[in-house]
Amino acid sequence: MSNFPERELTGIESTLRGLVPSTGDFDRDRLFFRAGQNALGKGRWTWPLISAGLAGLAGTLAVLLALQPGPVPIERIVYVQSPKETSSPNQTDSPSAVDLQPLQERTPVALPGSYLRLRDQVLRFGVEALPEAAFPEMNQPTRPTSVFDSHEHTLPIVESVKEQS
Amino acid sequence: MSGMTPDILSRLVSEQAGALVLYARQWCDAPEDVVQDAFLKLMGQTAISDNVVPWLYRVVRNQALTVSRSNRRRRRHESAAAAKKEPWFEGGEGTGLDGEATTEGLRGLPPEQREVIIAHLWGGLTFEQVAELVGCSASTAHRWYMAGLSSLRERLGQSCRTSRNES
Repeated sequence: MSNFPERELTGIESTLRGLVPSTGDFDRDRLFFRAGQNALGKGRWTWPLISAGLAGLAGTLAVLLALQPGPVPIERIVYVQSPKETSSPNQTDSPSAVDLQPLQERTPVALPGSYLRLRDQVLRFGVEALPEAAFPEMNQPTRPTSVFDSHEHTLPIVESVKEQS
Repeated sequence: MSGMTPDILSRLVSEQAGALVLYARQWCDAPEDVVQDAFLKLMGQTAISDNVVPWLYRVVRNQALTVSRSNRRRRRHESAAAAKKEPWFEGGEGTGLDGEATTEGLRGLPPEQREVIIAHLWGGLTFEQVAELVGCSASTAHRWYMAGLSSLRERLGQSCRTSRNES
């Protein structure tokens, strides 16, 4: 129970309100400085952690790359055509004859007995590769049908082959 | 709820820093640090409620009481600390009141009356907010307030006629 009427208390209220509380050693600038430091400290480790993570990932990838085994050599079997096997047409089971057959089919001029085939054989393997019975009825005079069938053109070559054999 | 902006913070500091320091002086000898920590805690909040002033007073009160309890064990010269002429108010000229006398008058009040008077008069809190802060009913807070003001008036020695003439 108040000893004084409310009016007088209102008077002392307004009088007391007129007094300004002292802030003492409260430093406003220091407050905002610390607030800025605290705000900075929240995400202070974000970017360093991201950098460390990326550096670790790069190092791991580098180690894996260094330890990666080299390319394994692939072995392939390549059949090389032997010059002796091409002269015997009966060896159809041999790999060289089998492999050669597609080549003969692909080569438009590689027809058995044709001049171009014989020329290719001579160029590749020498005159020794010429078959013995390459030109039938060679001793009998024949009427040349073309320049390539002329005995004057072919006889020296056959004679040289016979002399060598 | 809204975030704390620098303008709002600056206004709060200007308006409430002194009253909060006065409020914290009831319990501890370093009220400035307590008030500064309260503001820092406020700035660390992600969402700020509209009743930020009562929130500040609650934080200051809790922190000041904690500091007071920890200092009570170490305090040996309590009389010397009480006699320490730490000004609670600035100036006082023109109000008809002496700042030091008012300080002594407040110090002589019971703690609950002093707390209610400081929170309502200088802090601007309503009696409902003060009641929630102190932990009592609004009517009890008002009763303590009126009793404290009466005691202050007697201590300060101002007569009814003097205050009537001034108003």
